[in-house]
Amino acid sequence: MSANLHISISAEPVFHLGNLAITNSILTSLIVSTLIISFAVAVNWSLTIAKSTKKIGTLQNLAEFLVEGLYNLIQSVTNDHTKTRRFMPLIVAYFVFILCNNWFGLLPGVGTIGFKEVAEGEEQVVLLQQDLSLPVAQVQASETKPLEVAEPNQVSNTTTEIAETNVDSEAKSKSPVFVPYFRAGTADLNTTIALAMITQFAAQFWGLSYLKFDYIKKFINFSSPIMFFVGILELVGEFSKVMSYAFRLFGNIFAGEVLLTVISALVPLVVPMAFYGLEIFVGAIQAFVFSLLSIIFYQVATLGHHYE
Amino acid sequence: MEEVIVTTARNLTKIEIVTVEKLIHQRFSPTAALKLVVDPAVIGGIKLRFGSEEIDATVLTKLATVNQQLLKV
Amino acid sequence: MDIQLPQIIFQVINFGVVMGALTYLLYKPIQKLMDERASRIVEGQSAAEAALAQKANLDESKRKIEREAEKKAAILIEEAAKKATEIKREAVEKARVESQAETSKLKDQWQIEKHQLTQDMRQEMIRAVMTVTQKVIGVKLDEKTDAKLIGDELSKLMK
Repeated sequence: MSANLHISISAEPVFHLGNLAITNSILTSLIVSTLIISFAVAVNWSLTIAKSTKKIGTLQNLAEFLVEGLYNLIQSVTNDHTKTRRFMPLIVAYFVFILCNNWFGLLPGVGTIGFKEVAEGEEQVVLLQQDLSLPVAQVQASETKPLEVAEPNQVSNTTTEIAETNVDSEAKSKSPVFVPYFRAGTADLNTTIALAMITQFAAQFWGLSYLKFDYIKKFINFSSPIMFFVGILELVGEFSKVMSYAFRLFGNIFAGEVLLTVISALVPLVVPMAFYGLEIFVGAIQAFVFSLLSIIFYQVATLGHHYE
Repeated sequence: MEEVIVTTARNLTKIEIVTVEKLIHQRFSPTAALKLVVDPAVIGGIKLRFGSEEIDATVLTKLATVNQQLLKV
Repeated sequence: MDIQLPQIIFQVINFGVVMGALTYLLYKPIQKLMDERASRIVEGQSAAEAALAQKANLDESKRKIEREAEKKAAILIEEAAKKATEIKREAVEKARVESQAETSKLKDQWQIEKHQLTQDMRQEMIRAVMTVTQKVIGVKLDEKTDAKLIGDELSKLMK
């Protein structure tokens, strides 16, 4: 049982579109995007139906609940209706996108349906063999240089007997690795970095549009040497925010996936239910946190330096 | 010739007639004639009428006078 | 970690498409709907407030009119009462006077009638008496008395 655990920290490519490798994360997030767009179309259609029949359907109700909830959230931070309206499209998109991607990763089949891939011309490196008795993670480095055969042998010298055997067998034979077709979109660092960058650019854009030149003064401040360093720190802070956003989301979702996989492997019945509940909750919370932090971030950017 | 009407309730006696004649010749006219009328309605007494002059001494008239006097009261 | 720029860019585009779809198909229509609803509610509320204010105004003017009407009515009633008393007094007076006149008239009439009656009665009595007397005297008056009567009369006349 334990030998069937497959957890990869990065998303594995499923197929290639020319130069671009389509990973299982990207594939899943494409499916989720399709679902979201069809949801939007369905809501639009139900709105036109409702105009003639004067009855409000569930879809419209759900959409209104979503919009109103997010509107009130933003309003509570900005206290300005025009600002709220400007921020709304982005925040709605964030919330829906991240939530759906998070939750989609919990569906049965995601992470378990896949294919066996034989990596040709590449060595398989087994990590952490020294510390754990179970092979936990197998990292597939698609761009790493092919390792020397000698390396595993060196590793095996310091490991236990069982490990030696495993390493030897894996180093000598190219046994197929399980690659799932689907993986939660936000469990891929690329996705989360993309989202974080979008947030960051949006914040800079709005800061500039609201404060114009004063926004630059936040970073480049010549009034005193201390203020100059504060400006530089602010600049660094902007970059670090991107990292923080990306890693927060990725870490939470990926850790959740790992948790579920391990618990299901250990105790397949009943116990995983509790963790599923936790993961659903975490998925929602992460979407909410991302949106909320974005709102706060935009508010701070557009208000200028008075509120420190 | 003038006439004097003499009314009584009964027939006059001759003496009475002579007396009446005497009165008439004295009072009215010496040549007047007598006309004797008997009218029981006068009850008693005598009534003499000569032209427009009349002397009424009948009981009836006396009664009538009494009546008038009574009525006046 | 496998961070690849093409993949990042792909996800950016992916997110952009999703955002566009959500904004134009979901957010904008719903927001418009909610705005219309809010404005209808505000309109309804202000209309309701206006109606209430108008009602209050109408109530006020109604009360004012009622009060004035009551005042006027009171005045009218007072006047009417006074007039009624006046008329009553006059009527009573007139009635009294009339009745008095009537009474005196009746009294006078009664006096006249009484007088008349008395006279009639007297006459009747006298007539009756006279008749009786006449009859009695007629019966009782004999020749002798009659002759004496005549004789006395004549003698009187001759004097």
